[in-house]
Amino acid sequence: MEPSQLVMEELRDMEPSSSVSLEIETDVYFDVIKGLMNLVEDGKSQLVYVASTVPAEAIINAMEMIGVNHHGVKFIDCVSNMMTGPQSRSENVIFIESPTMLENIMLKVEFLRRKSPGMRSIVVVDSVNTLHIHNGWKIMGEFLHILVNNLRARGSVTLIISIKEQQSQEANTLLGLVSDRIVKIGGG
Amino acid sequence: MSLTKEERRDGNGHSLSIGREKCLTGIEGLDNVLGGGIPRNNTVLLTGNCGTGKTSLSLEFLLHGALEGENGLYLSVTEPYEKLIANMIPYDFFTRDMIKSGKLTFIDMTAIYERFGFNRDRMTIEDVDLLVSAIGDLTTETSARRLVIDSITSVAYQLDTQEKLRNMLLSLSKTLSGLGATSLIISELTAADTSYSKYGVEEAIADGVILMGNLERNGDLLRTLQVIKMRGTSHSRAKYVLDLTTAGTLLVPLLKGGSS
Repeated sequence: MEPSQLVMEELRDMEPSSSVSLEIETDVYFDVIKGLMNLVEDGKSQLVYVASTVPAEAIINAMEMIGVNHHGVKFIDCVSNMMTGPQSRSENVIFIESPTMLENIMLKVEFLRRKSPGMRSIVVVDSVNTLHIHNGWKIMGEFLHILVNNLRARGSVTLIISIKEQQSQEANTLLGLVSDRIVKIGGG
Repeated sequence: MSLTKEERRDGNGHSLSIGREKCLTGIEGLDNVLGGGIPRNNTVLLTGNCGTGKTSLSLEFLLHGALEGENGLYLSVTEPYEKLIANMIPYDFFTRDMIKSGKLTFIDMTAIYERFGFNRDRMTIEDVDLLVSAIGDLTTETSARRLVIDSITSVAYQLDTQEKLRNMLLSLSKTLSGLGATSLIISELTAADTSYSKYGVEEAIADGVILMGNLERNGDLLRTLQVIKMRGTSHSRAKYVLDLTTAGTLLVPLLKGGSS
């Protein structure tokens, strides 16, 4: 099965308030994102995508190239501001000054959730490994614990991406603590 | 009505509550921090450095009140009201009708000074009494249940002794409380200030102190909020990070791991 189809198959019937870890291999990264974008085609859900691996613009361009509809997706871009380069002008992109401002990620997630009342929010954190480049495990643990539980309390779903090739014992322990289940994608 | 009350009942359903009626600020995170809102009729000092969001938070307090049918009065010393509105965050829940209908009233304090012919350089004890009385009258005339004074620091510039400031605050707090108004009194701090207010007396007299600040962490500047005291309710004293958005002020806990 294609990785994007596998994502849809695994995540289509997620329970409200659930938290799922997606452990993926690097070579299926954009296929997985494609599958995630397709999760909100029903129009009843919104995808909030926290982009700390690549800029939102790069994801938008990649999705447009393969003809994936991304208009129901709101991006929280944690990397573009830090690079001080050109930024996306899409109204679906919010910028965070730095991936070290983890509180601001939580605040923007809440802002986007409030802006779409009545919609089920699916929040994707991409990825635990790239956020760890800028933050220690202690604060990462606090961040994910508060974020996931806040979203649980509101019936929203959290998907946390981790990259298999960059995985560590600390990441596994943390993801085990905040996730209900772990879905592994890739590796043939 | 935006009232909540901590209710405790015995086995027969009789109220054991000793809690106070609460005035919901409408800012969800802050109401949670305050254990259900500001105790009704409290006078609260909203204090902090420039750019920390004091004016925005106090405006939002009035807007949520207006949405709940409670009139609000904003007394500004620092900015003309048109400029204040022009610079206000374009909240999703604000409409000009709130002003037209009288739910929100903005008054430039300098107009009060001129009306009473106060010497703005140095107010006498009599002037202070007149000013408090005038604010009370305005509260009554506008049927305000929520009031903001922006800022007490600017008013205090015209008072030459701490005694006058103490008397004014005591009298103001008593008057507003007696009129059933829940008030936010804004206090401006500078980086050099070491207490919660410019003159040191404001924080002692107020029923509550909400401290807003800028926290620099590894080069990032975060807006923070902390409730230092609030008579009449049990509340969190933790520090929170806030964001001023068009959907209103949002709060999340400050991550402690950031200090390591």
